[in-house]
Amino acid sequence: MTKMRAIIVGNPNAGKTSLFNALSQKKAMVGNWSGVTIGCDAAVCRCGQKNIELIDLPGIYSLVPDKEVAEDYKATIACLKREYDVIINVLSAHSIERDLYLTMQLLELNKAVVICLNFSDEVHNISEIRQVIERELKVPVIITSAKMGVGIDLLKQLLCCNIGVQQIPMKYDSAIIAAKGQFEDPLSAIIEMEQVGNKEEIVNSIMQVRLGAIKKIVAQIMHFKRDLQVSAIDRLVFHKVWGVMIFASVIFLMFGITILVGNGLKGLIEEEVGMYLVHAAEECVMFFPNAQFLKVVIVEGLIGGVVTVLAFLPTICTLFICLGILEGSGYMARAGILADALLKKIGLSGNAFIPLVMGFGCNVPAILATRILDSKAARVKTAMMIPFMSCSARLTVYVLFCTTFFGAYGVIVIFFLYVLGMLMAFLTGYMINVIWSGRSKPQMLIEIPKYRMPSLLNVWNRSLLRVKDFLFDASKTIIVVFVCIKLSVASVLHFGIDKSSLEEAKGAITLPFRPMGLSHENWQLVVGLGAGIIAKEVALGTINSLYFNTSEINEENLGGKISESVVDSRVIIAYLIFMLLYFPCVSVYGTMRSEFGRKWATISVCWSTFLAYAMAVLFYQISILF
Amino acid sequence: MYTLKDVPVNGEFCFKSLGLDKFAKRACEMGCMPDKVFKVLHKVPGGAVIVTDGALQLAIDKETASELDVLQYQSNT
Repeated sequence: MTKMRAIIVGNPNAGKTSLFNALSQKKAMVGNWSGVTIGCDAAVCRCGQKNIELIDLPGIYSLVPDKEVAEDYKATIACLKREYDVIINVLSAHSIERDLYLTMQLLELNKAVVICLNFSDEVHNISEIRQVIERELKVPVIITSAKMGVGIDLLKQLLCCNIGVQQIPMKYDSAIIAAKGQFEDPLSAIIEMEQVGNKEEIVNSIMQVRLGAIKKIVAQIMHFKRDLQVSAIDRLVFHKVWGVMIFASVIFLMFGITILVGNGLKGLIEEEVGMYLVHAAEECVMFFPNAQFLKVVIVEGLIGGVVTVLAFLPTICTLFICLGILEGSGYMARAGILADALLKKIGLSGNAFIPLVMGFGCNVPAILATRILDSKAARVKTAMMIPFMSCSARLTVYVLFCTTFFGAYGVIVIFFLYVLGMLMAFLTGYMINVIWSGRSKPQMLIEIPKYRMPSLLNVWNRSLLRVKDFLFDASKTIIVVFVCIKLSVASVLHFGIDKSSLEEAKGAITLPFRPMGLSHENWQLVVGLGAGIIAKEVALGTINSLYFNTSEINEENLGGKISESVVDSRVIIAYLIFMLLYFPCVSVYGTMRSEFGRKWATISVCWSTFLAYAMAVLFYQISILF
Repeated sequence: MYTLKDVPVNGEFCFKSLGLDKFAKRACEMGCMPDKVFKVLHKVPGGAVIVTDGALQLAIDKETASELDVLQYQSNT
């Protein structure tokens, strides 16, 4: 069986990852904005007698980088420097004129190129466009719609054949050809010769030749509809009053739906699935000699942890589906444009908005998504702000506390927490901006995606990927911590540790938290904060585990237990403020460290914990004055 | 000399030249090619200018807009 390597290259939001998924049956993340793909992804696709290694690259507009190179740009160029057999150049049928600029550069690399005209289902006369491009560029052109599965088999068949290297359609003058010949390979020639700051007439001349070739193609595509009208939806979305109100309503609605659906299904899972699992496990361990020990480890620890994770799955899943719909519709990019003016005040551009919003799902991919930003200063600043964007794991804690203590008003408290998180993120960005004044000049140039009806399959796959991450990464930690805590509690009860020592320990751990209203009676909540350092989901599991030191996990309500020891709702809000703002979990620390180094990761941890303590104490102390 | 910032909403214009500074070059690569007619669709309050050539829509912040030279524009107001 022969092997070959194909790389998928194209402009951002051209549908490269959708095509990659369709070819390889993978479920990589897709979305309706520029910069969804972070880093390179690989998969193997079988085509007849060939095994094709497909490499999906982040979108680029040109092979020539700017002075301050985005991380994803580096990844793309690094892949283009490696050995490969064919380039699959994905063009969006909506913006052929613009997308062809990169095609012209790719054709100069002396590699076999196949062009895929994607989003073919959204454009008329696609066959005519295909014929013109094929005739002018002399490259095979396939009409595809990755979303609908159109053209995938044809592309596979083509990849099975040997595709020759095409002639360059551009006619450069002899001076440029001679200059290009001085470089060791065509890619280096493009990158080195066309850098900003190089000889203006050479760069200008090269660009003119390419644009001339593009014009010749576009002139033959008569169908181009020049729709210069503004859409009615955008009139509202970008309106100075309505725009902000729509944004606030969308966010409020998203969390409202999440809590409503999440709470509705949570009880069902706890009562039906949880009880069934606990009873089944209890019956199983009864037959073993060390039944009591196994009951603690398996029933209370393992099954208790699993039930805690499962109970919050509907909440998490609903949040991810809502985020997926927003991302797929094209609204997210528009919200970023709306936020540009605000973000400019802290030295960031609207480009930073998407990583920040992604932080509501999980902070780890959000920090990785800062790679789309084009300066190190902007990346660091955005990454320092992201831990304050309340992730889905923290939402599970809010839901439990807020529904117990605030009932129907819980949604408003949760909304307040989210807004507070955003304000603290803004404060952090502002402070870094003051320290770094003049270090970076934020500029924004974003392509606005078309409004699209989000594909249910894409939204589902995207949510499933995120839920899988939550289940398999977080639940492992939760369950291990659950088992350890259950064992510790059981050993304390079994060996009858001196009650006064236990009281002393409780007093010591709650002492620093007294200014925010917590007392030794709430030591479980303080231990929960400590466990939350591992992962925020663990905090809730730990609290649950510490309150229920018997096997009867589902017979009493955790919220009710907490409300027995904490009667003051102001303490709960102060506690939730601390939970919102303090130390991001170890995964966030690890990601920060790998992306920006130990210094920034440590600063982030210290700053967020300080801010959490200060805000929680401030809130409680002010609230008791009234 | 006009820049994109001077063009009013509904104004039609062409970018003046390819330009070789960082953002003019990037704008060109992103589709703001010279001699192509663009229209200003919106000016987002305090922020971006949204332009279209009929096929794609781009949002350009006001600082960048003030650096992008345009040929004489037609205001259409």
